[in-house]
Amino acid sequence: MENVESMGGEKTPDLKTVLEEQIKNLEEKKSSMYFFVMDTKGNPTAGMANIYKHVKTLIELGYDAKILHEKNDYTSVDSWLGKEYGELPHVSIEEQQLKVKADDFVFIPEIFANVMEQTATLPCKRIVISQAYDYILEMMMPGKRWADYGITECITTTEKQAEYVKGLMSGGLKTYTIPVSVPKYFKPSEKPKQPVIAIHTRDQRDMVKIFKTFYLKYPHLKWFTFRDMRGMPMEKFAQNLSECCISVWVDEISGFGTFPIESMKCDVPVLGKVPNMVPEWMEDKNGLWTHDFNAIPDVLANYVQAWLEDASPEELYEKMGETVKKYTEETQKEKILEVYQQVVDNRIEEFKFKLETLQPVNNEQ
Amino acid sequence: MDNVTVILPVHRLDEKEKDYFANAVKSITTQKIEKKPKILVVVTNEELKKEVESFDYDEKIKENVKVLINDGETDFCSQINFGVKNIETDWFSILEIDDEYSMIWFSKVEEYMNHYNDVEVFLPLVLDVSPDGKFLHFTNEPVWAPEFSEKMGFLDNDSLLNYPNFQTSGAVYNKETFLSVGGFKKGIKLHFVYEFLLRMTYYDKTIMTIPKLGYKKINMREGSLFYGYYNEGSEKIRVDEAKWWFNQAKKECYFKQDRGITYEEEVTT
Repeated sequence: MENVESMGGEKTPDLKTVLEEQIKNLEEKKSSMYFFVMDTKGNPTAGMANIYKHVKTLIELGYDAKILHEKNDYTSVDSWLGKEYGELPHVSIEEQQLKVKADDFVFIPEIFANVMEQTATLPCKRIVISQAYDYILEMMMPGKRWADYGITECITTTEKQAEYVKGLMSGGLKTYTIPVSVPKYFKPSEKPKQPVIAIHTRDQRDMVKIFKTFYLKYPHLKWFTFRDMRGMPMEKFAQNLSECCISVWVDEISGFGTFPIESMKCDVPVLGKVPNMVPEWMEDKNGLWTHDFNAIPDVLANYVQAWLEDASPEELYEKMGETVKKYTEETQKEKILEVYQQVVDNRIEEFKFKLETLQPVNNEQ
Repeated sequence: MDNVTVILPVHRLDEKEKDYFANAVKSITTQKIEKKPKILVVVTNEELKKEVESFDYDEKIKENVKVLINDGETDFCSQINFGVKNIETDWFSILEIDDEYSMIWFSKVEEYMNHYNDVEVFLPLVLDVSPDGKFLHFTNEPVWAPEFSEKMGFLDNDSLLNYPNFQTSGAVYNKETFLSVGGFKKGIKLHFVYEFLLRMTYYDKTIMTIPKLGYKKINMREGSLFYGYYNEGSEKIRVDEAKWWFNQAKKECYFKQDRGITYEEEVTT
């Protein structure tokens, strides 16, 4: 392919050909979609799992999607997310064989403002994937916004996050929303629930405070086990979660709140502290919600005492069932297809527009 | 749950005990299951039999009640052993006259039986209250505590040796299993429950606590069996003797039969 950046009338047909080829690539799903991820060194994170899910689904839908990571010694997600995800196509930046074309896409998690800046000169389309709104400004230079790095589109997991980033990055930012889905292996346990409390807190100190307070104030319930849900392989995580009689969730900066949805899918009621950004699935009666962190041990004791008598409110379980219906893999797949096709179509329109702006010039010549 | 018989030993029915009896029977009537358990009331004489038979039972359970006289030894253990030999169901439960089941108990047993078909004794989570109804503690719950026993929820011999405080009233037993290990031993006195559970686990019988409130027990009610052991009267057992029986329970659990041992005060010279 010739260099299309040369000036001069005789080069114009080449640019036209290039644009036509790029449009063709996009239409035939030959363009690559690179999803940049960090190396979590084998530690499970919901955000990573969701990105891998996007990639896997896009491949199933016929797109050329790949995981993009920085170093060659990237730690595989096999151990916690499963072999089927570990075997997805991976590309390392360090290998220096990466050739990103103008019709390709690079998706960058919200935290990597440095990557947004470093990739600003690439010819491809770059889009932010924002799942944890609280991290957006973490590495941004003061006064900078994504548009300063040439990024004008963002995929989020909730409408609320979409509104938030629009407000933060100001006008012109186009947002898409793809809700998280919960895999089918999150299901109610076959055996009756156990006196075990699943606990998931962003800050480990919160977990320690909760169980120590609980045991101190309610010594007669000291035989209930708290199960720290962090760091488990996903299927083991789902199995362990499904055995619990209740789960406790504290994540002030949660962007979506995957853990409560996973719990509900396992028929495990959730006691949670209402995050700063109230999740859109959160309703009065689909969980035990409190704004007061210090009230958690008391609400928990009340609930488990009712559970011992089989007196958990039936409405709670009904509402949980209704809530999780919205977050199936099928629904997410439909949304992934819709959004990424929209992203591709927009890019095609951009190229077509360029193509159209070329032609009048040719005619005049 | 028509494959379970509740064995209810009755020694006398004075005014207060009539109330207890009515309450105990009501706790069977109100079970949240369609098919109520059968009831075998074991009494000590004909007069008591007539009195129990004439009790105003609810229609839901009236046909399930049977009254038998045990004209042999009439202590608690003998009454239960007698009752077990005379039931026609594969499973039984023990209800003390001053205690009661929770409404969910037999529906929970049914549920757990379906999921754990190798379990031979289902212990309830017992709510222990004082005679004036105040909460004291739970019993049978430690099996669910982390690292208490080898398998969470199940009682084993090693954990029993470290922690003896379990209760058997309210539990649902497999009849064959109970008889195969020799039943209760009246000779072990106040530690007969401990000795029985040690024996069961020594012979590898599977015992599980259902982590649901199944049984409410009044502790140390005046006139109850254990009240007699701890308070003044002919049955009172001194601390030294209680310790002796406790140690004896650990030794006797290897034997299926009641060897009829008697307390011998240690004599120091």
